Amino acid sequence: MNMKKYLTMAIMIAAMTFGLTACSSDDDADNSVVTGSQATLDQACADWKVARANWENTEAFLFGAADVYSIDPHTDTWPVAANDLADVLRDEKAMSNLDNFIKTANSGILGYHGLEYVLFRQGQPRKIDQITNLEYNYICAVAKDLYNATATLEAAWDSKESNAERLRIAKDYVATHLAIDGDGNQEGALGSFQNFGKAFKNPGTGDWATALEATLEIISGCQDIIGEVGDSKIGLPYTGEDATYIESPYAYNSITDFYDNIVSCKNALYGQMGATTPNEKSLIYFCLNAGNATLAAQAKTVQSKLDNALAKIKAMKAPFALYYSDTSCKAAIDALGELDDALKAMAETLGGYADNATVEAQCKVINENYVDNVVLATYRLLADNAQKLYQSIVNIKK
Amino acid sequence: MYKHFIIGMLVAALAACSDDEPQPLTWDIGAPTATDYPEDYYTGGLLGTTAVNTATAFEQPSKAVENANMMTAFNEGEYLFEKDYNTNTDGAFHGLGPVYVRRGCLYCHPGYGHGARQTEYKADAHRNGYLLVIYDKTTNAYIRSVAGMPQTGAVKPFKAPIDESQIKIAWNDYTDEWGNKFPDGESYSLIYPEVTIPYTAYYAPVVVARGGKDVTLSEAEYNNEIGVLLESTIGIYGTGLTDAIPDEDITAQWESESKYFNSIGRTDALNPAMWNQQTNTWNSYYSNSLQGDGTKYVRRYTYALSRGPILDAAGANAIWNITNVTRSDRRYHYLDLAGTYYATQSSKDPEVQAGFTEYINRIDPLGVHPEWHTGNLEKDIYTYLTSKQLDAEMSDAQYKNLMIWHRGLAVPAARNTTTEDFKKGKELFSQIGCAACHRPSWQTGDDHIQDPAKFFTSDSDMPRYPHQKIWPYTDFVQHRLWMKNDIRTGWCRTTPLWGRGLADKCGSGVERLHDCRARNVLEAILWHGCKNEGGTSDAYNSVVKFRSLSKKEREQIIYFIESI
Repeated sequence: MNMKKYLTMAIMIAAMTFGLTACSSDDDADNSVVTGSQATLDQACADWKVARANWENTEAFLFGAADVYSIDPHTDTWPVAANDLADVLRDEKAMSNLDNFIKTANSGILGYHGLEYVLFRQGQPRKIDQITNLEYNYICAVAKDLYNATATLEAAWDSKESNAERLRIAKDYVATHLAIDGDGNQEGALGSFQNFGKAFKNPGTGDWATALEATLEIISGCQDIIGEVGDSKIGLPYTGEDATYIESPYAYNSITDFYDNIVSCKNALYGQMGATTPNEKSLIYFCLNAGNATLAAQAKTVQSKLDNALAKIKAMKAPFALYYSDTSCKAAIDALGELDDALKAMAETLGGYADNATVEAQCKVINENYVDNVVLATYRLLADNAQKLYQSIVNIKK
Repeated sequence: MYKHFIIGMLVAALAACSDDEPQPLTWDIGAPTATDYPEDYYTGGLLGTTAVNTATAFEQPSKAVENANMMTAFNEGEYLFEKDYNTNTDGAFHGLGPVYVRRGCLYCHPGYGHGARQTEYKADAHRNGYLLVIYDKTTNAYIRSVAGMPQTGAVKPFKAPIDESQIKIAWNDYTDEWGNKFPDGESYSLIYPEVTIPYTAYYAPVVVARGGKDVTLSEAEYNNEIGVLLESTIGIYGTGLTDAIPDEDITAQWESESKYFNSIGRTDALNPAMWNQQTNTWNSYYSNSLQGDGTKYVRRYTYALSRGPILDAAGANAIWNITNVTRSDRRYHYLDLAGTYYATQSSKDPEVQAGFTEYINRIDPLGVHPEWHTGNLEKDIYTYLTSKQLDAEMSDAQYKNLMIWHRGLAVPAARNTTTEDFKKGKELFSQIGCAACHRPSWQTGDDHIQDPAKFFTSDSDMPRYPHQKIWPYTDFVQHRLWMKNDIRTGWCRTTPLWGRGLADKCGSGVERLHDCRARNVLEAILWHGCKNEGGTSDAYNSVVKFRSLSKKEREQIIYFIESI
């Protein structure tokens, strides 16, 4: 590690340690601390990690609702805009109308990383006697907003609209986020609620003209996050391009994030959550058994590269916030690059079957399974655990 | 449907097993179809086209990036484009403000593409790709007391130059000369925006330039003499390929159109601010004497043709002026056009003064700039805002990577190129005259790097696209459509059409034209047919021909446009 990296690391650690000092020491701010137990705070932190893992498991399908409704930036922007957050905590108008304030607030103070910043320091839960009432009120509102965002994702991919409460939340979310005035009155929202699950299952009814096109989107969604993890999330700190680009630095959660991102890809390709082998309605299963030797070989390569990438990420020296230049990072970057190449090759072969009725028919099966057993199932678990996180954050205060 | 082959039915050894366990599914899909794509499939040539046509189609690196071994740089550049900037004083993406147009790039370029139509103006609204165009109707020039790209965001204690909550965007119905109806009876609707910003929304007095002097307007004068319009972003992909077209070829296009218009007696068909139709020569080049040496380059980017080579064009500017993140060659803030009105107003504002000490101690904790800490708040605020010696917030390496990413974005391959509807649509597109301005293809040159700001000097700095046949569907010339509430000056560069059909899938705005008034391709075509709003559209005859086509033929043209 060179001197520049040492200095950068020192600055980061100092920032993590003293995080909200500017706010907490402000004479005008209410610095009273919450009455609560460390155990409830620890529980909220544990629940944050679960809901965080669920979110990372969705990153192989950030297209559709997460993108169109801007839920990805709204919930996962980093780093935290610490000065803005400090300003909000002493802004009486904002704090007295938090639910509405948050709907239109700067993404840099919201979502997972806004919560992380208040809940954690140096990989550990903060001390309960450091959490102010203002911070408590703030994270309650952010956690509620996070739950609403995840419920929206679930409802937007639920082709059967099976959960009336989450559908109601979703419609309200789409209508009001970024389209209300300071008093919470709805202004001219253009977006209307769309069911991406239905569109993905039924070619020609939405953004995907054919089933094959939608199936290729599954691969593309994986490649998108594989590239980001390998080249950016790990690659940029490792290569020294920029050591400050470390996500989840307060919770020391980076390597878990990376791993869960690639698990998201495995789920997408294998056709179910927590899959260890491809199910019969999965993309990989089809490619292995479609009767084309090239495609089968490419699918096998994807499988081995997938497992290798997961193993290499698991073997990275932790925490990444401190060991981002370790050689184990390079091994993970290389493994992810090979996985990306393998997926690219498989997609190119599959793309050559645009006029093949057998492929089109099976892609429809793959897509239906993908929507129900991967995307919807993952979002449902995410929403359930985000709801739990919200409740456990509320419970921090006695 | 897939076939369910029962393998091993005749094999005794497996028979017992098959009684209890389901057989694995297999299919027989044979070999993929080898498609011999036509050349217009490769919109960005062989070096600049991506076969990806999914939701990330606009985000792909070109082969030129891979060939140049620049993927790491490309990915950092992508991060700098994708993430919000913040008010932190160090760390990733810091440096936002003191005033800003947006916190980051994706707000205006959702999915890396076009902005989406809005019914209100909010800087923090994702997909709001609008810039406010506030201009003096008597001169067509921007007002002097806000920035050319006016800001509505501010970092405390500073205040927004325009209070966006007071901005109103109304969408009005428009009826064309044919009563919004085709000869075959099919009808359509057209809408256009009308934007109002009340006098009270401005933080500083409203000032315009008249007769070489700055003149402050009263509220009544403001209401009568100031116009407000919208301009939306377009996609970023493919701009590197545009940069690779030789200057002389763009000049040749202007010459060719100039001669044509002269030959039919239309001697005022090209923008005199750009081109002299009498001499068939440029009236204006792009040059940068501030960072660069004033070398002249052919203009090729933005509606207003305000920019030359990409390395000193809209993106290079925006990463600084949209966020006000400084860099080594721009160690000053983007404020009002005159550079003094916002600073003066702020410096005298008691609320700004009250918060300035905390702010400046955060920005400059070590007091490296003593001139900002003298204790005379009015002076300190003015000195800070107008400083030309700000610390660089974006490193040179970061800026270089951003530009590698910018120049390295591929264009999605055209879709449906082998279908009959595409072929027929393409034929009709030329036949009714669309291709005259939406020129289908260009050939890139040697593609040596040109940077008017002289930040980049070597061919090895960037991904390059020498000798590619590309398909942007634009002549890079300005024309006039004479629409109701038209673009400022009326002159608009022909917008490239490549990739736009993927906008919805990519999460970009599907709307077209400079202010997103066309909600689909059909409306965009029909807005080309105005003649009752002060002049006759350059594309009027094409629209007349389009109207005479059968419904199926009209749909084929639209299909073609959505496919390219």
